[in-house]
Amino acid sequence: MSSHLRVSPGGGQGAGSWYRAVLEPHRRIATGAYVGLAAASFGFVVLLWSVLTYGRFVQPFFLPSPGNVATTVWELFTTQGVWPHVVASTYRVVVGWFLSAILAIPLGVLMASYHSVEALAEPLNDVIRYMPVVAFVPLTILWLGVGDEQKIAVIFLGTFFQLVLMVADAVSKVPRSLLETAQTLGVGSHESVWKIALPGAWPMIFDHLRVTMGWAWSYLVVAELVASSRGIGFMIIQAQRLLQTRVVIAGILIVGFLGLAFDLMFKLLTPVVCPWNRRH
Amino acid sequence: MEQKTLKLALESVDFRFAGGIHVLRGLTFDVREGEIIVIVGPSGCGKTTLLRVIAGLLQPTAGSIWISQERHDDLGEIRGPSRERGMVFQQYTSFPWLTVAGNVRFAVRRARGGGEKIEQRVQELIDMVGLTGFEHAYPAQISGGMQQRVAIARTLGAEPEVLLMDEPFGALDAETRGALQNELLHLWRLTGKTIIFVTHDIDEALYLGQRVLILTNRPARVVEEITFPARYPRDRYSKEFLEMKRRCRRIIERLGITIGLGPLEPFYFLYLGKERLILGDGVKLRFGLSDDEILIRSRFGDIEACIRPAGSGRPLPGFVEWALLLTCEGITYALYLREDLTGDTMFLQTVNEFLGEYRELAAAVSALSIEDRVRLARQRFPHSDRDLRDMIVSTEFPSSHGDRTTTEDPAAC
Repeated sequence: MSSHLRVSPGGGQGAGSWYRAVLEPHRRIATGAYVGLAAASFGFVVLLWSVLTYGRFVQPFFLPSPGNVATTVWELFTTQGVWPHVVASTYRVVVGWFLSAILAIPLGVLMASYHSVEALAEPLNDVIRYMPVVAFVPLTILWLGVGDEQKIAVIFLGTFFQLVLMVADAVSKVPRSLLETAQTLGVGSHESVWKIALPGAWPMIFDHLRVTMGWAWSYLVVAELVASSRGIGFMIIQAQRLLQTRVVIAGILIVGFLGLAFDLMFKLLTPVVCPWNRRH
Repeated sequence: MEQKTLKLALESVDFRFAGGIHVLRGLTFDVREGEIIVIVGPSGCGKTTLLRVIAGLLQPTAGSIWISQERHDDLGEIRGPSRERGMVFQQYTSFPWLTVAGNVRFAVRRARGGGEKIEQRVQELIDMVGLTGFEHAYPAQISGGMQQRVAIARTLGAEPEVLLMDEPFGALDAETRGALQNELLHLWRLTGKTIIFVTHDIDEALYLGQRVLILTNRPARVVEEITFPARYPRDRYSKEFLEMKRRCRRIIERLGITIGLGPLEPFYFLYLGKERLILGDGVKLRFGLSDDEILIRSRFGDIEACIRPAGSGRPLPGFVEWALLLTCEGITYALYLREDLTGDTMFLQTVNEFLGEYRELAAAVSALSIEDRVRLARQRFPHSDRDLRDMIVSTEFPSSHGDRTTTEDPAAC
């Protein structure tokens, strides 16, 4: 990694060289520097939080201290039984996201490939896409009750219509020359939609799936806050009713870390799912 | 040629784009079994469009294209793209999600369905194009030249009746291009495929072609057909080759193909906006819009141009899209236009304006005596007196070609 630093243009020992090594556009920094900067940003937030709480600028009732919240997270996982909530939430997110993906991918591919499908689906999709998902929560309760189905429906509504458009966009970016080549190799035009356009767009679609997973977590909490008997959102709203601010914050943090874990999983899966997309 | 059977026939093929641009006009020609036919023509004349029409990716506005299939005696009219007309594009079109072997296998499976022989055939094709050892590499991991080898192997794997090649080596550096030209000839010897090859490079055309068709400007039609015996390899520096090259160049030159204008007078010097240019052997020049340096050399009466992109130390050959060439007493003058600039409307406009200006200038200059020309040139080029003397004083200009603004005089050669 240090070789990256050495090739800096005009890279002397002067005061400007480290500055250039870190602040030059489109230039990779050393792994150590990367981790350090990332840790510093976390450290800054924790520091600010500590000053506010330990310095007694804010009452613990409004904002408990980092130590207090950390203890709460620990207790939640060890003695307070947060696991059923985590499992319920994860289950809803994964199922909602999966349903949305499994339907949005084919529809997006069709929309990008057939002008008629685009005419049928895109204007309608665009209208629905701009409707606030939160407004659908009462409706979903009315239709589906307060069980898992309703939570999954909210996640689906929140992600599906966006994902369709993103998939269609990814597919339409596949170079035409690939499709034409396939045709001169004897691939029919309908067949090329699945054999060429879909794999061609797959790395980008996979990336969109990752982004959508993040949204799914947000919509999950929205759904769980309103009517539920399990899930992290439910835990948060319960804690709020009991004025347990530390549990509220702990809940938010747990959702954040779960999201991060999923994101990491997607990143690790990328070379497995799109092995051809390696940089080296 | 007569003993060979007919493979493909174009009958008054016309093509217009929806916008009304007339690209191909009544093209009629035959392609024989196992022949390498090369189509050359000015940039933007419709060579690629012609190939795409033959491939079935575009439908001709009028006329028809017929192909003989292996198992049929008579010709069948083509409809749409098919495996029987495989195409190698200038762009790299390897499927990025498949390995080298995967790309070739994709085509072989198409041609042969299932069966045991597939893997054997895939390996055979990979070996044939010299990619042994790279079977498991993905396209993103290999060079441009290798990608084109994959494309060729893949197209052959589909077992086409006719191989269509659209400037397949156009994006490669000169060395790789030369190597691939030889490999293509080798493959042709092995497979005996019928090949229709499109290029703007006369040298490439004459090196590969058994028949070279020169197209006119849009709307394109065949202006000249040159036949060669199918003997390879050809000596690029043989007298015949160079003579033929000059002849082709003259034909293309006189088509006024450059930007749709008539042929220019033999030029004396060129003037581009604020940039004054003298073009001649060993002269370096900069184009007005780019800072690239273009070095022109003439070798054995053959013209070469190297472009050194701004800020780069390495000359890059192979970016020359067209050249305006004039030979006067052994000195060749050339105006080169970089390929990547021909798509630039603003640049073309500038060149058009410049040519308009140049024509006036040329008319004025041709009325002057040599002494007056030198005086005028010195005024314009105070710093390059010696070059000027070398180039101008010792040079007699050939007599004027007259004002030939029509571009479709096939007898012009």
